[in-house]
Parts: sequence; structure tokens; C-alpha cells
Amino acid sequence: MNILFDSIMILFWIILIFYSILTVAGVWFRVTFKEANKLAYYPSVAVLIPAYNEGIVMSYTLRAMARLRYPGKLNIYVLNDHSTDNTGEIADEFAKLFSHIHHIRVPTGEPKGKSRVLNYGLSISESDYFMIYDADNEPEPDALVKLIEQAEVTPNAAGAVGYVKTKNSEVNALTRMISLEFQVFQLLMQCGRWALFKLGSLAGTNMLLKRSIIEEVGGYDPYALAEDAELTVRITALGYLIPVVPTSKTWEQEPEKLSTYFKQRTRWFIGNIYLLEKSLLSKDYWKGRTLFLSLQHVMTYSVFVVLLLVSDIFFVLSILGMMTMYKSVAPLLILWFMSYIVYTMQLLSALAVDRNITFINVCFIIIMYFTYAQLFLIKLIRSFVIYTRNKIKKQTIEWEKTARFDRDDNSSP
Amino acid sequence: MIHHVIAAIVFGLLLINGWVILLVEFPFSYLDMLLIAVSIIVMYILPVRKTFLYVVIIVLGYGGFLTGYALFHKVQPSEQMLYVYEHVLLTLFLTFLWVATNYLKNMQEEINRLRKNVKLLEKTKKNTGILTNREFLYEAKGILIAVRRKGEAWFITFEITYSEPYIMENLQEYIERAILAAIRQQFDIVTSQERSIFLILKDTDENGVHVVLERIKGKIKQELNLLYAPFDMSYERLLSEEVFERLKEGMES
Repeated sequence: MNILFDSIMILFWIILIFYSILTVAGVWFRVTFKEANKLAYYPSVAVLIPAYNEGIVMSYTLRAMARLRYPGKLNIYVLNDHSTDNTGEIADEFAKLFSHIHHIRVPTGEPKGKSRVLNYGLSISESDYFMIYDADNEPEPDALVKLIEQAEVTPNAAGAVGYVKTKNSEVNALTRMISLEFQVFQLLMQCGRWALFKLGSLAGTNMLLKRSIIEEVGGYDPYALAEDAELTVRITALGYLIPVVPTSKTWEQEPEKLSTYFKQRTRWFIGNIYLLEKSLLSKDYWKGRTLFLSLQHVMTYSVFVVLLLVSDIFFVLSILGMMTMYKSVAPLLILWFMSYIVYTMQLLSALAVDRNITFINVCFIIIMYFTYAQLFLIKLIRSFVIYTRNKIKKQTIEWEKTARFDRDDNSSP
Repeated sequence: MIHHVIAAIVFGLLLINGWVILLVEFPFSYLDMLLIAVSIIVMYILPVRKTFLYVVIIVLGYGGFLTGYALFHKVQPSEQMLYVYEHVLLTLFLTFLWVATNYLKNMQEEINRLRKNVKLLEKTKKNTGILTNREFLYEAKGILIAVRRKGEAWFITFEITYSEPYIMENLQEYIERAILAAIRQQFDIVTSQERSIFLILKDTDENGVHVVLERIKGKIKQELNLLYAPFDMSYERLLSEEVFERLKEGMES
């Protein structure tokens, strides 16, 4: 029993040290980041916006799209996947006025979901690069041009990925914590991985790719629910780079209700479990820099969850004075404390580099380890159960759209 | 106002926190004090954007040291708790210090920025009242557009040849005042850089230019004990922006 505990402790240490280094590297990258210079020639870009019943947010999205400043040829495609609300009407209104905005009705097909719609979007458009935005996104006017400039000057780049910020972060505690989480895990850790290993991960939105490369990898996997993570692995396996551009920003709406949040995250987690299974069965995923991505997947979706669980058990047993039966050499108390410190420092670092430190944000950071972080366990267990059940029944897991929220002021800050 | 109140609270907390670390006997009190002393200096020296990186490195590094020490010396849980308190206090101190230094540095940056903006908005130079380079260029571009349609204007450059370093500044001011007195106020424009003065005469011909230049020389002879004018002059008709190149280069340098 003690050997098991000690092994877990060693893994715990490795993860703590790794995330500490990643945090420092992420902060370093962000504070020293310099934007790429202007280009002599700007390649053509197709912006793809998959949309299904996005009437609540579509007008805000298209307003932001119409404001995108790009010196090269730019076409924006709303890929309407049989919306039954007014998404099509709004898209038509914009397409009627702006010659570079197009409303495309996607034909029926299986399986349902973003990947199939994106593949269709790629088939009907022509450009050197394509850019993906979710239908609730409001990119800043220079978001696209910054990604292109970085992608063009980075040798062997497949594209580039930007920063996703939360536009409704101040609505309630949940959106605030999601926003804080995004600042760390969507950007700071991403910057750290890029700074240390030249590894970038596609974010599903505010991401740019070369058309030739998506054609080389054979398009999107229509069965992947986390299509961004899945595509990242395939692109990295071919040796391409995905540079991170923290100054290219888009604003998106995050779930305001716990039920919506759980649905969205379950889909993400199932997508990642699918990818985990795929990577375990493929040798290509365990070579070169892809090895790191696969390892990270295994660590996050299997080892980390066990450690989090064990850490919680240690904590509760320590409080109850029941840890005496475990005679380990490891200083459990301080180790547990350090995991809290690393997590909290990551959040604080993200706020500091984003110049977003407020009293209320700091209060949330202090409690997030005990609240929001623990939801990871519930989400992952739920996702594993659904995934396994569908595997046994040999059913395809359907894409579940994230519900949007109607607000008086739905636009980005 | 609220920012100043928060800053005052943070400074207060910083002091209290520092005193607690100094007065309470922790297992690594001397190390804490050393880190505090070093941090105050480093945070003062580092640029604002890099100060938090320093805080992160110290907080995580110090935590790593305490964990390693507890492991190798088989420290009991009760003493581990002391390590935790010690770490929390040092982390709080560094965080408050970061907020305080940021507040002060941002304030300094803001003052510098405002000073720079005020300088940009200034239209005339303090000692002589001639135009600033920026204002001169702005007005000169307007004159250029006007003379392209009708009339003519002349761009005159004065290069000071006198080379005594101690009186150079005063000499240049004398010449600038003499030029100002010799031209039509609110109509012709003048500016200067180190050892150079630039003048634009509007709606006049080459004869008019000579008249003005003679007037300037006369004024300088009246005031200075010199046989010859202490500058070289050149003039050309204002036809394009190219004549401003030297002036622009001087502004950039």
C-alpha cells in the first residue's frame, strides 16, 4: 500500500514541477512577446463560421466579422447547418450588403456536427488560408491579420492560434471562473508549451490554417467531437508548427448555467477520450513532438484525475486525523499545499499578464481549487460513463450544441 | 480616488505582513528576510511587465525548496504546518510588494506619458516663442497645399557656424528672436533644431526674401559684437515636402 502511495506521490511531484515550469515559461513568453512585422503580400483567407440555431448571437458575430481589417482577399462564410431560427435571415441580411460575406446552406449529412460542416465549408471555398470562428465569437478587428503575419514568418507553420476571451465573464460566478480558467489553460499554458517545446494547440475558434495542410491531413475527422485537439495531433505528427499569438483576440460567450456548462464540457471530454483511444491505437501519435501531446492527453485524462482524487482523499483524511496509517516519507501536507499554490499562481499569473487583477477576481482565484477545479472529476467520470455506454451499444455520440444566452448587451466589452 | 484608497490599504498590509515575518520566529526566518530584501531591490529594478514573473519564480521556487527540505529531513506534519504558514506569509508579502511597486511604477509611467503628451501639444518653444518642430511641419504642410494652387512661399535654412560651446544656446536664442522680429507675426513661420533654424516666408518673391534676410542680419549686427553674421543661409522655393526631410530627420534623432 505504501509503495502505491509513494508512486502516486512521485507522479504528483513530477506534475507539480512540470506545471510550475510551464507557468514560468508561459509568463515569460507573454511578457516578452513581440508581434510579427507587416507583410509585403497578404494571402487570401476564407473565414468559416459553422452555425446551427445561433439567432441569439449571430448579428453580434457578423457585425464583428464585418469589422475585420485585412489587407488581402477575405471572404466570410456562414455555414448554416439547417437552423430553424432566424440565423439564416440575419446571415442573408449581411450577405446582401457585403460582397465578402456569404450565407451557405450546408446539405444534410451524417454524422452531425462541426467537423462535417467545416469539411463542407472547405469544399465550397477557395483561399490560401482558412480561419475558424465559432458562431458566438466576436474577434477584434486585427485578430486575423495578426495570426496571418505570425503564420507567414514562422518557419514550417501550419497556421496560428489566438486567444479566446470571455465576453460574459461578469454575469455570474460560473462565467467568471470559466473566464479565469480560459486565461490559464487556453492561453498561459499554451504559451508555456510553445515557449518550451514549440507546441501549439488549435483552439477550435480564432485559429488559422493553411488550406494545403488540411488537405494533406485529409480534412477534419467527422467523428471527432473535440475536432480541434484531434486535428492538432495529426498536424503535429506531420512536423508542422502552430504558433501562439496572444495578442490576436476573440470574445466568446461561455455557459451561464451549470447544466449547459456540463453538457459543453462533457462533449469536450468525450472528444478527448475519443482522441485518447485513437492515440493509444496509433504508433504515429507516439513519435517526436506528438509524443508530448499524447503524453499530455494521457496525463490529463487518466493520471491527473487519479492524482486529484487521491489529493482530495489525503486532504479529507488529514483533516479527520486518519492519515496515521500511511507511513510515507513524503511530506503530504506541504505537498498538498504546493498543489494549491501552483494552481493559484497559474491563475494569478494569467490575471497579472492580462492586467485584469481585481479584488473580486482574486477572491475567486482563492476558492477555485476547492470548487471549480473539483468539477473536473465529476465531468470526467460522467464523460467516461457516457463514452463507455455508447461504445457498448455501438452508437455514434451525437454532437450537442452549446446553448447561447440572450442578453440586453450581448456584445464584447 | 478608490485606487488611492486600495493602494493605501495595500501599503498598510505590506508593512504589517513584513513585521509579522520579522517578529515571528519561523524555521527559515533568515531566508525569508534575505528574500524580502532581494525582492525589494529586484522589483524596483525590473520593468513592470517582468516583475510578476519574478514573483512566480520566487513563490514556486521557495515552495519547492520547503517541500524538498521537508522530504529530506523527514519533517513532522506539525512542523510542515509552520512551513505552510511561512510560505503563505512570504507569498502575501511578495504579492503586496508587487501591487505596490506596480502602482508606483504605473504612476510614474503615467506621469511620463502625460509629460510627453503635453510636449506634443505645445505649439511654441518656451524661451523664444518660435514654433515647435511638430507645429511647424503641420502648418508648413498647409502652406504647401495653398501655394500649389496660388502664390509662392520660400523655405530658408540658417546653419549656425559660430563654434564656442558655452554660448551656443544663447546665441541661437538671439538669432531666433531676431528672425521673429524681422518676419510678419502670425503669418510667416519659424522653428529650430540644434544649430539650425528653419523659416518659411509666405506670399513673397525672391526680392522679398532678400529684404527679410537683410533685416535679420541688421538686427543681429545691432545686438552682437560680430563683424559677420554667425550663420550660413540657404533658401529655396517651397514646392514639395522634400525640403522638410532634414527637419524630419532632426525630429526623429
